[in-house]
Order: sequence, then structure tokens, then C-alpha cells
Amino acid sequence: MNTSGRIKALGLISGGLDSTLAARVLMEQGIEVHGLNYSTGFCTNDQRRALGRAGEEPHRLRNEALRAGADLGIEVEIVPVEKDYFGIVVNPKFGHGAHMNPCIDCRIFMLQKSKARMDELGAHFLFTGEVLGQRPMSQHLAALQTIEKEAGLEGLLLRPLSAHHLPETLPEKRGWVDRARLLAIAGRSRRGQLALAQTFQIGEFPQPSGGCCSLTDDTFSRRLRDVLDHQVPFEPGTQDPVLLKVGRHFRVSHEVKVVVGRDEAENQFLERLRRGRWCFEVPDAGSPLVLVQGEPDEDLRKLIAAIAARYSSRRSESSVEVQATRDDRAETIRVAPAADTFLEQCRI
Amino acid sequence: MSGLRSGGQAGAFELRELGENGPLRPDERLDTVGFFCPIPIIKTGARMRGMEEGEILEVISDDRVILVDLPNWCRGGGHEYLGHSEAGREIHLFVRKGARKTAPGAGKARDLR
Repeated sequence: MNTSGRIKALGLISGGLDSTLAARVLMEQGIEVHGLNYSTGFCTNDQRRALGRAGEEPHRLRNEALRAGADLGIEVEIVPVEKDYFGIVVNPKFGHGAHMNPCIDCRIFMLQKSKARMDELGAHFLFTGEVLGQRPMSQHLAALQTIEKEAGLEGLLLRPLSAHHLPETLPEKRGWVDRARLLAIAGRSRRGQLALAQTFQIGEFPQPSGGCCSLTDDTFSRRLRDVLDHQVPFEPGTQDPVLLKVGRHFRVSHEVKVVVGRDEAENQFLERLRRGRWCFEVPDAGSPLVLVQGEPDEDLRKLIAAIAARYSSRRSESSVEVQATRDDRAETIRVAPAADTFLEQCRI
Repeated sequence: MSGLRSGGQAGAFELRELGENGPLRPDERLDTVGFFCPIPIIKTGARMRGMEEGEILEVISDDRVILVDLPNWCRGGGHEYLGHSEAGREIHLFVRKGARKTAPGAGKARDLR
């Protein structure tokens, strides 16, 4: 058991203001706080890192959960869950949000994992920075209750920021936490949180955007859906999710998809993936690297060459020479650049 | 810390470059080249769990974000970030393991519930 005699709480820490405040409210009561942060493979920051764009300021790509842990003086453990997590992205029990975001299942998933960790660490209860009514899909009262129940945490999940709007939890009933010192924040306005941040002199936190998860992004979700619909090999926790963020994507047949780099950084990223794949470029011109997924026949190779020509600096010429290579196989294809009307039809 | 000099403050963390004449002798070395954060941090945490308090781990990485993430991870986890040196694209970072904040698998708290 917990030998220090102190009450220990385990919390989901994103590094955003809400989870930081929730941790801080508990720390003010003398509770020992330990943080967990799950690496799902869909964090936009992680993907930007993997793209490795030159000149990106490391500070802007830092892990916010670690930064919050440092500021709070608590340990934040990053837990890799990419493969397991992908299961709920593909097939969420409670459905997707507006895009591929399985928000309710995501919370349940993380809390179930945390419950197991809570037992290992000998922590007394779990907490989150959830605020009643802040997010339409996952933070209304019924959703909060569903999440708690499905995670097997009834009574053991404290939301310190909205506690006064929610039924009393076991930590409050047992006196591990003083309910009177918890809060009654609710709704989408962040006024309460900002005032509290000032009280605690928390100066540094990322702006709330909801934009830190690629699964809430329209284009990313459309491309992920395409991957699933066409059974493209996709390995979470590798470069595969990053590839969905990179370049222009075109599906040219059921089996074949192409990715066109938009700038030097994207071309370099695609370059790293070219082994065993067809790549198209326009020699002696400003040219994107066009990476092919799947096995294109001769007709499709002509079509892909036309796409490469369209995005090269020779796009206005009537006939362009394109180099197609796969490992040590190479061929030259002369084509007219693809028409934009065609491209729009196959753009993903 | 002998052999170290402090670099300038860069935002919320202090980036320390290792001095030229104070080589640290790491007890263990972890190569994370080719991996992007948070993977090097996850690997660091896993490796440090098997080390003793006071021992030094050298982490090698080519992801520059680790210069921000590793000092932050140390500050939160109670470890001492000793600094870094660079060799081409490789960054060598040194961490001294601190007193254990959380005992993994330290028993159950069920009797309290």
C-alpha cells in the first residue's frame, strides 16, 4: 500500500489549462499527484516533429504534458498506446464525432488504462480536468457518467473543476478530498479557469484549440477513412499516420494512391519512404517527389507521371518528360500535365 | 557541477551545454537516434526505472525537441538534468537519476477504498 500515508491521485495530464488546474487544486489540499499522458500517434505536435521541417523552433513542438509536469513539479508518465488505441479509432462503441474523433471511447480507453496504473501505483483515485458542458460530445453530464461507468471507475473519478455540479465521489465521501475546496466551473466560457490560473500564477499553457488531435481534422480524417476503405497497410506508431499529414493525396485506382510533396521538407519526408515504392519526378525542373502506394500498371504510371508534371515547374508545357523509378528500375514517360478537373475528382 | 557550464535561459527551461574538459562517465547509455519525441522520453523513463538513484544515463538523440522535453521531464520527475553536448546531428544528453517519487507497483491501495 501507499507507504507515505499521503493521499495519492493519478490524473490525465494533457498540459492544457484544465488538467493543469485540476492537478493544482488537488495539490493545494496536500494530495500527492502523479500524471499520465497517452501517446496515441494522432497528436499533431508529434506528427510535426516527425516531419522534421527545417527551422521549426523546438519550443513550439515541445510536449506540453511534460512542460506542465515540470511547472507543477509532478511526474508525468508518457504511455505509448498507439496500437491499442487504433482499435477504438476504427471501431468506436460510441461512434465518431464530426470527423474520425472517437471522443467518448477515447476517454474511456484512457481511463481504463489509468485504472490499471492506479492499482499498480497504489493511488487512491483518478482525476481529470474535464469541465461539465465544455465540449458538446464528451463533456455533457450523461457522457461524463457513461465514461465513468464504462471505465469501471464509478465513484473513483474526480473532476475537481466541475465537482460541485456532479455527484459526490468516494474521495470526497471518505474525506480524502475536501469537497468544499473543489470547484463549480461549467460551460464553454473559460473565464473561471483563467481567473483560477491567475490565482495560482500559472502563466504558461497552450491556448485551447481542440486542434491538437489529428482525428478532429477534416482532411486527415478523410485520408484515414480512405486508408481504411481501401485496406492500405497502416501501422499506428510508425510514419504511416504522419504520411496522412504530408502532401497532396490522390486516389488513382482502388489499389493505388499517390502522395505529392508540396515543399522541400515534404519531399525529404517522402524520400525516406521511397524504398520498394514507385517514385515520380520531373528531372531538371522544380519538381515534387511523387510517392506511390500500391502497384501501378503501365496506364496508371502514365497517369501518375501526368500528376507529377502538373505540380512541376513545367506545368504549362504541352509535353513533359517524367522519371519513374522503383529501387533500381527506372523508366522515362512523356506526358501532358494532368488537368485540374481530373485532379479534383481523385483528390483525397 | 564540475565540468559543466550553464547556458542561457531559453524560455522556461535551462539548456546546459557540457564543458569541454569535464567528461561525464555515464553508467548507462541509451541510443534513440531515428526516433522522435515522445519516444526517446518513453525509452528514457523505461531505462531509468532499472537504474539506481545517483546513476547517470546518457541519452543520444537526433530530435532537437528533446532539448526541451528531457529537461522538463527531469524537472517533473525529480531527476537532475546535467546538460548536453552535440556531435554533428547527434545530441548527447545526461541525466542523473533522482530519488524515486513514485514506487512502481508499490502495492495496492484497495484497503483504503
